[in-house]
Formats: sequence, C-alpha cells, structure tokens
Amino acid sequence: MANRVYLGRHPALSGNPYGLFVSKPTKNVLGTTHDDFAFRSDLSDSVGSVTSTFGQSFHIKHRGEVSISLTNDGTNSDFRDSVSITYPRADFNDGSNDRCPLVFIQTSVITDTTIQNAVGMYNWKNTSQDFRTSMGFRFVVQPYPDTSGNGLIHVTVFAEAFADADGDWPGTNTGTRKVYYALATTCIST
Amino acid sequence: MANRVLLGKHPNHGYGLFVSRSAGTASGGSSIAAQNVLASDKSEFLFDSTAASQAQLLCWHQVTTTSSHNGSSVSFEYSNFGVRNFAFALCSQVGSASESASDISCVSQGSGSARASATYGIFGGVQGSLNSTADLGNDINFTIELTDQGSGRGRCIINRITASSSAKDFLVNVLIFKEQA
Repeated sequence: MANRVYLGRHPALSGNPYGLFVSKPTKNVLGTTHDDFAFRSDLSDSVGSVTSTFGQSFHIKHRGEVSISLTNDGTNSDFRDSVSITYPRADFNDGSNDRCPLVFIQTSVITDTTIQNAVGMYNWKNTSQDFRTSMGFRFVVQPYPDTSGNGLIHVTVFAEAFADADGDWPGTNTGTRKVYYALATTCIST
Repeated sequence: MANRVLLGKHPNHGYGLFVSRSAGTASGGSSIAAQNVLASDKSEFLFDSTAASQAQLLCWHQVTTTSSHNGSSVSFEYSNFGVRNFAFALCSQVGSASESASDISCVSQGSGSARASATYGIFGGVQGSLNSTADLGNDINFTIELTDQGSGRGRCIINRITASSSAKDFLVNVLIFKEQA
C-alpha cells in the first residue's frame, strides 16, 4: 500500500518543505508531482498577479436556517418574499479591516424540507406578457452595509410554479420555505 | 470529549488522516455534539484523506471590467501547478448611475465604517425590483475561461460580453481551486 500522509519535512519535493502532505488514493505521498497530492500545505502563488490563498480550504464560520413565508403581494402577483440574515463583521477581521466572507445559500422546496434548491431561476412569460419567475431564489451579500458592525445577506425566494402546456399561469405554491446559509472564512483578496 | 483527529488506521476507512468537527450551536440555540472521528459516517468530517482531492483554494481575485472591455476580455495569471483547476465567479454591479468600481468593491473595509453600495451575488450585486433599467448593471454578462500556460502558470480570462453601449463598471470575483476530483 502506498504511503498516504506525511507530516514534517518532505524528503523528495524541491526545497524539502515542511508541512502536511496527503496523497491521492493509490498515489505515494513521497511523490514529487502536484498530481500526486490531494492536499499539501506548501502551496503559494509565484506568478505575482494575484494574492495567494495558499490552498486554503473552506472553514464554515456560521451556518443556520431561517423560515420565510411566501404570499401573493396583491399588487403584481409576484409571489416572492425576502429575508435578511446578519452576521458579525468582526468574525472576518484581519486586525484592522473587515473582509468579505464567502456565502452559500440554499432553500427548501414547498412541503419538503429534505430537498434543497440550488441557485437557479426559471423565467416564464404568461399570456398577458408579464414576466414571472418561479422555482428559485436570489441572494446578495452586503459585507459593509453600515456602521453597526454587522454584515448582511439578503435572500429573495420566489414561489414555485410550472408553466402548463397551454401557457396559462398554473397557480403558485405559496407557504413556508427554509433558507439555509453557510458563511466561510475564506476571505476575498486582491 | 469526542475523538477529533486520527492519523493512522481508521476502523472503517483504512489508513489515512481524518478530522471530525467540533461541537457547536445551531441557529435555534440548541447544541450540536462534536463528532467522533472513529464514526463510520465520514460525510461530515472536516478532513478525509480518502477523498480524491481537497479542492484547495488558490486565489479569490477581483477583476474590474469597464466599458472599454465590452466585447473583449481582461485576464490575469496565477500559479496553477500544472494540474487542472476549476473556478466559479461572483459579480458586483453598480446600483445607481453615479457609482463606479471603487464603490462596489467587496475586498475589505475598515472596521466601523461602511460601504453600503458594495454587494456581490451569483447574478450580480443588486437585488430588488425586477425591472430592466438600462445600463445599471442589469445587462451584465460575462464568461470565464481557464487555460494552462505551461510551466505551472494558468490564465483566467474574463470575457465581458455586454452590448457595446454598456457604460457601467462591474466587478467579477473569480475563485480558482486546485483541482479536479
């Protein structure tokens, strides 16, 4: 069986770097090509036009869920609703500046919280030429919205519906959805 | 306290390095127990050396595109280590005619100060009405391409495929990972 994990000074890599090295299944961690490794802690950009993140993995700092209820707004029949999620900016501070977290959002589908929607929207035009959006959501991150010390995630969920064969608006499933969020400590760099 | 780190032979998964998660608190305030690294279910492990790759992030680079890039591209190079990378992108766009790239950058901000116009999202950084107000970012459109330049260098190309009349800046935030599973 191949050696898979090495902790310490690598004996074969150029420069003999110290670190943690993990090879891919079937590959020897004492190999010397990048294709041998599933993880190595000595990655650093040498081109110089980007700020290296050194092979950082995602560290989920915050995760959770909130409920959102969809209703017909009575005006435009938009069947959408929004929820705002706040987080402390200080959790992404580098000592003097707050930085932008990487945010992932998913939502549940109607009546079933075990199925999650990924990002996506479908546009559908009804017979009166209104544009309506169904089965999906949007989100934006506002990392520095004010001086309160909180960052903001704004999520809009759209009601689910499918266009039927004759193009009539088939009705919309309103009700409660879950919005799931995860904030990673991976911070934007220049 | 749960066992959290195992370097060696796992009772279910063979030899390797395994790290399980710590205890935490759910959004409703309830407690989440730490996970035992000896558990047979490794789906929530923080690190699992039996995986084909750990998808390490090489860079998150913000690129400014302006009207001068309409129908053309802007690019940057980075260390790709000679292996396949994958990437995804997020976008920041202006929300009013008076804003430009410096108003919408999300990179960082001094503690206690605000930049309310800075937002990012999958479909751009402005959300609200579903109108199509001309030239306020609603017409943004771009693609990203990764190419191997050899010698451990990769190039990321951002094609701004907006109309020639598009006048406003938008930013593309590109995250590049090493490597394919």
